[in-house]
Amino acid sequence: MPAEVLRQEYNVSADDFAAAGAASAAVKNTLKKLGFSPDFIRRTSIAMYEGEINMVIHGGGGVAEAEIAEDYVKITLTDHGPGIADINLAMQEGFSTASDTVRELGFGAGMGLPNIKKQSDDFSLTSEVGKGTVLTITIKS
Amino acid sequence: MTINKMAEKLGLERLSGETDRDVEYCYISDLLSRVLGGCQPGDVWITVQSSLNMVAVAVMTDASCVILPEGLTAPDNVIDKANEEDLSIFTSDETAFSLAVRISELIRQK
Repeated sequence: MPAEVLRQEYNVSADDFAAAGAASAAVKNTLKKLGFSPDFIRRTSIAMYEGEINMVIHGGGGVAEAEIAEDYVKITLTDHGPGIADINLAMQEGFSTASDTVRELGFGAGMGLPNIKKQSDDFSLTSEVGKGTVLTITIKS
Repeated sequence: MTINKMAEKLGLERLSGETDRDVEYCYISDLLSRVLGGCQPGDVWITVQSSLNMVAVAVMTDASCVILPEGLTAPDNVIDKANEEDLSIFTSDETAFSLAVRISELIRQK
């Protein structure tokens, strides 16, 4: 595990479902190499992947940043998409604004944000309509 | 039980991956967000999803392997990605239900 804080940054493209998950996979591999526990790696990977998919589906792409320390990983996902009008509604299991095309790919079940919250120790979602959304989560080992 | 032993008993055809590992349990769903929340490490995941996202979800959840039921296969780019990740994907002519019943029997016998 790193003695110093390690920072990684990735660009996430909009609507590129084939590449979706590349940032999460890269962070997962780093955590594996650093010797974090399988459960910690799994929680971080699932939460980050859900967030990354949200950036692809809803956020018009953006930037994914990971801050990896000895006993935690902090993920910040920033997009410049349409924003979320009602965060409480978006956090409800089953609520989704995903298109039929997205649903055919197996996404859009309205489980993403609740899943992310479940896997995280700290969860912060801020959004402004017309400007974008910032999701910050911390997973502690 | 390991995935190789399960594959032999169920007559599965391997499409990708090569590393053998233990099978813990079985999970069935085609909604990827549900799988991300419900599939546990070591689970055999049965799904009709055969896209690149399926590979990512299997890797993120640490599923032991994926079985595509009813003779479904995956496109070459998905197989390539799965090989890159050493994710075992199998196909079977049986339905998800039938596979689950047989996997349950195998797990109980171990």
